[in-house]
Amino acid sequence: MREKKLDQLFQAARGIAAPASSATLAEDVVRLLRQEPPVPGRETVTLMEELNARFPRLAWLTLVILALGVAANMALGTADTAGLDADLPPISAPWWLLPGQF
Amino acid sequence: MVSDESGWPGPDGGGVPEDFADVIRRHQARVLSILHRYERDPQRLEDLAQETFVKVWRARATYDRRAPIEHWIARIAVRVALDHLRREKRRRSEVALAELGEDALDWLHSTDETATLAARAAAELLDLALRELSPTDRVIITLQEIEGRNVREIAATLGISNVAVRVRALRARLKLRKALEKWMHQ
Repeated sequence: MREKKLDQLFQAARGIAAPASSATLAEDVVRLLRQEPPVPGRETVTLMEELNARFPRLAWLTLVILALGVAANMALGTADTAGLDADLPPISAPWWLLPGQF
Repeated sequence: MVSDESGWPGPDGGGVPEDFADVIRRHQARVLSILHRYERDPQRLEDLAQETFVKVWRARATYDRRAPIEHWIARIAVRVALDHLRREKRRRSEVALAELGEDALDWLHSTDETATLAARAAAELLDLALRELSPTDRVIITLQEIEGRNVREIAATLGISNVAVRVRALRARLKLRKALEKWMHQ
């Protein structure tokens, strides 16, 4: 009984035609789409932008610190100055290497 | 701007071409025939049709031309209907039998198997029964029982397996039968 009633309902629903759409549906949709802001196109990507996209800022900061360290080392190495520990006696020295011990 | 043999506008400079309006005119009857199974209010039906064609335009780059364009548009329309049902489910979960007309209620309570019901009243009753289902189950049963689509087509449209379609269709039918039985005894 229920099954038969259900089938009758489906049968009736199949016969119902869709309502006609408004005559201006196509124009309305086109107008709607034209009002949308245009999607920005892909701009030319510079090498720096590409690198920035690929490397996080932290990696760049690390590179800068390393470069500064290398530069400072080179500057101190080429300068004709004594090292900071030049006039300091060693706090400890292996006794067997000291001259005159044996 | 040149249309190819599939009826789809060719590549253009970026704006919405006039040819797209022709695409809409060619396919709007089919889209409405799908959507009206899920929304009876004419204004909201029109809104859903607009939404469908806006989505068609936005997704035009994904149309691979292997299937006829009407199948591709129909698939988008079904998905719009499904989204609509999900929104409606949240908004209107209460099913009111009082929404039905006298004829439908009489037919429902009648034990006479030869009794008939006018198509419009039958549609109202079926719509009420279908609201008992989840949006996906409603779409499955509508596509299968009313639109006569086969399991493979439904599975492809909804992106689920054939087995899932069969199981859900069976469950949906059972649920509809139970809903009818409940109303028959009210």
